[in-house]
Order: sequence, then C-alpha cells, then structure tokens
Amino acid sequence: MNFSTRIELDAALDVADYLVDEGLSTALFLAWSIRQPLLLEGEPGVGKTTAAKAMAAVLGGPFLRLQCYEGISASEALYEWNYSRQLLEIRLAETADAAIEATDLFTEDFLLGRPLLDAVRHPGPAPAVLLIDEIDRADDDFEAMLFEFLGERSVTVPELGTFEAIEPPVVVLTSNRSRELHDALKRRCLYHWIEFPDVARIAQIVRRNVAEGAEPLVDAASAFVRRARELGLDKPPGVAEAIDWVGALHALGVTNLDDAEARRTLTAVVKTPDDLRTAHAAIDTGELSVGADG
Amino acid sequence: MAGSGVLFRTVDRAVFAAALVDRLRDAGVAIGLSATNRFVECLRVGRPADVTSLYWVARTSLVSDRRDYATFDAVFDALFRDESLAVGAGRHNAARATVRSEGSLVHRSAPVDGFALMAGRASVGQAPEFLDPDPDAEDGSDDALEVPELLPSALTGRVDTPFDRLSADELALFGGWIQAHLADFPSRRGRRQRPSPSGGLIDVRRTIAEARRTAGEPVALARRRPRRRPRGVVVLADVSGSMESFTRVYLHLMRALVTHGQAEVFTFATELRRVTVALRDGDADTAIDRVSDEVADRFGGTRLGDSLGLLTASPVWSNSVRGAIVVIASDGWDAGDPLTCERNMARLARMAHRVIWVNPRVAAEEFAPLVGAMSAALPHIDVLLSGHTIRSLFAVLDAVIDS
Repeated sequence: MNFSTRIELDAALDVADYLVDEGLSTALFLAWSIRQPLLLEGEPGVGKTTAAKAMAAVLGGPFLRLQCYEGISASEALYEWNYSRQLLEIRLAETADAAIEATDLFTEDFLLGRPLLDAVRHPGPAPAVLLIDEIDRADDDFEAMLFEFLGERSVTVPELGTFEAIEPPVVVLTSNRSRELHDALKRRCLYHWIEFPDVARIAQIVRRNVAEGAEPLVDAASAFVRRARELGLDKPPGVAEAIDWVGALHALGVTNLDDAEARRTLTAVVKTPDDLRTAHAAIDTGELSVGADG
Repeated sequence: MAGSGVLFRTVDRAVFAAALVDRLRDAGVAIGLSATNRFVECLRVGRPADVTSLYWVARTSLVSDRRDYATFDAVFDALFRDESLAVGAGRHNAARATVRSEGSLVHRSAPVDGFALMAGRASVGQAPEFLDPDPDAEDGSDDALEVPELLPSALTGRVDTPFDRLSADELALFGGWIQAHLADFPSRRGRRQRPSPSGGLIDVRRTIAEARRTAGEPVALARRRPRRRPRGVVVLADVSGSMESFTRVYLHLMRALVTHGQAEVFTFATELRRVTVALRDGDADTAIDRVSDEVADRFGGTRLGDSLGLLTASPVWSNSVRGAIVVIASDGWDAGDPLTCERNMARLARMAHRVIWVNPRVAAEEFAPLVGAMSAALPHIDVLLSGHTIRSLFAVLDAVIDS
C-alpha cells in the first residue's frame, strides 16, 4: 500500500477499524513516510499497541512484536546463534573426517533472527511493522542497545558484519511512563502523546469493538466512563474498560443501562476498593450517573 | 496539492525550521539538530496545507516530551494564530506558559516567511517574551535545581525565614526545589530476584534453561540479585487550626514525595483522609487547591490518637504503613486521650520501618514535649525534627532519603 497524503492513511486505518484523530494520524503517516521510529505515550488503555497492529494490517507487511520486560536481553531482541546446529555440524564434520573452520560455523545459516533482526532482514515489498512494547519496563542498558537499530536501521553481528535494512521497517515504541526514557532514545524518535478520547469517540471505538452492543447502551456506558475519569480515581478507567464493560453488559442481557445496573457491574470499570467507594458515593450524590448527560 | 503545499511555496524550509526551533529553544524546549533535520524532512513529506496540520507535523517531529507541549503550544500560537484559537489537545496547562500576544509576528491569513521570523528574532523588541521568569522551577527541570547543594538564588536569602513569613511565590519555588532534591528516593531490598549481569548469585534455573539451547552446555552463567523496590513513604499531615501556617508548605513537600516516589499522604484533624490522588495532579497549585477542597475538616480540632488508630486498623490503608517510612507532621496537640495515642503510636512504630516526627514547635527555645500526645508518642519516634524553616525541612528530606 502506498499513501501520498495523511488523509489516505486515515481512510485505510478506518477500514481496519482503528479510529485516529489528526495528531495520531499525522504521527503514523510521518513514521511511515520518513521511516523514523515513533514513540507513542499515553495513559493505559488509549490504544498505543493497537495503533501498531492497525498499521501492520493497513500496510500488509508482517507484524513483529517485542514485548519488553525487566531483564530482557539483547539475545531476545536481536539474534542468537543456533548453538545445537553448530555442535551438530562439528560432529558431522568429525565423522566425515572433514576439516571445519570457525568461519564455517558462523554463517547466516546458523543465525536465529529475533524481532529486530527479522525486521531488518524482511525483504519487502510491504514494510514490516515492528512494535517495541512498553520500552519503559526494560533496563537502561537495553534501551542503549536499541540506539544502533533505531538510528541506522541496521543490526551488527560481529562475526558476519552489519545487516542494513532492505525495506526499512515502520517502528513503533510505546511507553507507559513508569520511568523517564533516556534523552538519546527520545531524540531518535518522532513523538506523540495520545490524549484520552472524548465521549463520542469512545462510543465510536466501543461500537467498532462490540458490534452487538445496542446503541443507547454504548452511548450511556461511554459517557459514564468519561465522567468516572473526572472523579479523580486512583486508577481511572480507560477505553479498554469501556469495551469490556459493554461486552459484560451485553453478556448479562442488559439493554438499558440504569444506575442500579451500573452499580452491579461497576467492578468491570473501577478496580480498587478505594475507587469503588468513591464511585459508589458519587452515584449516591448523583455526581456520577447514567442518565444525566455531562 | 502540488509542490510543497500552500503554506510553503516561497519559503526555505530549512530557514523556517531553524527559526522556529530557535524560538522553541529560547522558550526552554530542548531540541537538537537531528530533530530539526527530521522536522525539515517531515515538512517535505507531510506537506502541511494549513496551520493545524503544520502544528501536528511540528509537534510530532520536534517535541519529545509531553511536558513540553504547553510551552510548544504557547510559542506556536504566538507565532501562527491568535491565542484564543488554541487547538492544542487541551488538557495540559497552557495557562502556565503565557506568551504576550504582541509577540505574534505572523497572522493566520498571512503567508509564513522564514526570513521574517529570523529577522523578528534578531530585533529584541519583537521577540516573544515570557512573563514568568522561571517557568521551569515547578518541574524541577531547571539545570541549577538539580544539584542538591545549590539553592535557586531567590531562595538563598530565605532559608531561615519561618514559613508564616514567606510569600506564595517563594513557596512554589520551594516546591520545585524539593522535587529536584528527591532524585534518589529511598529504596529497600525486594523479595524477588532479578537477572543482573553483575549479580552475586548464580541463577541456576535460568543457566540450565539457557543451556538447553546450547546442547546442555552452560555457555554463559546467568546471574541474579535481589531487586530494589522504592520504599513506601507514608505522610500524615495535621491540618488542624494550630498548624495552619505550616500546612501549605508541607503540602508542597508531600506533593514532591507523591510525584517522585510512591508516597501515600493522609491528612487528619478530626478525621483521617487520604489525599494521595489529589496531590498527584500535574500542576502544584491545582493539586494543593484540590486537597484544600477535599479536606473539609481543616483548621478544626485534632484527634491524633484516633486517626492513627484508624490508619493502622484499616484493611486497605494499613498495608502502606508496613515497612514504610512514616512522617508525621503535627504539633502534637491532641484533643483525645493520651493513652489511645500512646497505644496507636506503639503499633505504628512496630509496623513502620522508621517514624519521623516533624513538629514546628520544637524549634522554640522553651519547647519541652509536655503536651499529652507528644510526650506519649516520644518513646516511639526515631527522629524528631523541627521543620519550621526551609533549611530544617531539608533536614526532614535528608532523614527520609537516608532511611
């Protein structure tokens, strides 16, 4: 797929059931057209990961995902040597009485690609979409290791040389801001902060995800979630909670959401004891209610 | 849409980008050369046709931190539109970085000219000026604020001034300073182990798991060490009438602890109230106003002993006290029974890692812990500090950090 303007990408993402505003679509369009990595930040549940998946669906290339966690190491991100095959090769050579050199063992045949190397080696024509998810969970040294890949779009294997990207991948990094990322990493990336969507947008997104949800139910639930966020809860509910909630209500056979029904299923939206107490109190006082439109 | 779009038909993109970046850098947004290059590239492919799309292209490619969005919006709006037309996605605090509107050189309808921007930059009179001389002090991002020993010059003369004689601005400046001071939050050794190349213990399970991939031969030894977790900090602030002049500045200290670590903050006068969530607000003044709104019983009487009891007995809140550093800011005047206070203090001290009591009255020469609750609590306190001036509050911070 080829896009000459942002509007075309917008339309394609819409077909893939991912709704974007102008800021996010500009960011995705630029990430695709100049192939700079894009760093997406935002509160949990605003669709950072889904953005990358939607991009992959739209572009038609493979979707490679690297989930970061504490203690993730280079061998899980870049490449590994297939040690067992190398040993096997040596045994075979021994039984055949053939001479074997170190250079025979360190060739591309024995190289196991991990997401970053796979992204670089992907031949195209559609670019691969590489998602480096929750980069804030990884350690500092892992972040530093990414610099070569992000800056030069290449991966160096000391024994073989440097792999340059054939069709540069579209790289999306996400972060939940659980810690500050290094400036050097930010400098190499385009950056976009995804704002929490408004009621109409939440309703649209929920409707795309829970197709069977009745319209008044979706609207009421979206407005309720948006208002619940204004209570200053410890863990404010996100779009994902709204989707789950409407799914749950639908499974329970609820077609018309009222305060009593909302109370009963509140645990799908609000998930800590303190927050539950606050939310119930807000329903009592009418501050948080299904009916009134805020 | 042919060529490079309507906005940039006659403009040298590089000059335009350099001029805009120069403005942003003056306003305090850190933008490097590579980002500027990227911006020019983005202008080429993005072909912004109106101010809104220019806004998104510029923000995506130049700004790499959400906290800079407000400043960016202010500079951008001053250059390209009337301030009333701000489209910036809204919730961040545009009000804090105010740019005088007469600084706006280019009107919305006029074509953008990079050279005009450059020229405007050179003549001092036309350049946008920031009204707030120290817009960054709140975030603690000012370079001078990061070195613990240095004080912002505005504060140096005021370190020994009692709080009741400080102005609101000085208090805010102080809040920012604390945030920078708290860079190393106290930590404790966690129960879990985590992989670490320099760890002291050999991770047998992982070594063997990895050896499976290398035909059963342990090629590299995996190591691990206990992970460090931030130590819990629980602050109990007395908001009764007798503490009135200290409450606001203590709230600044607490907000710093909440935003930098995972501190829990409770206020008490006649009832115990958790205000952690309110203090977490991005803007210091909003946060503190929210707390003032939420705390209905402030500047009333004190029920210290009962509040402590409520905290240690609460199934939800008491967990935050366990193994934590507990800071109690109170003058120790309690309307309740000293025996209750003594019992609950003893329980709190057993649960907590360390109990720090901040009492502004300690500084007075004639002070003796004669007040019922204070003398009852005294045996269970690890550190008793005064905290009546900025200098003495630093001692409180040091006590928290060193724990």
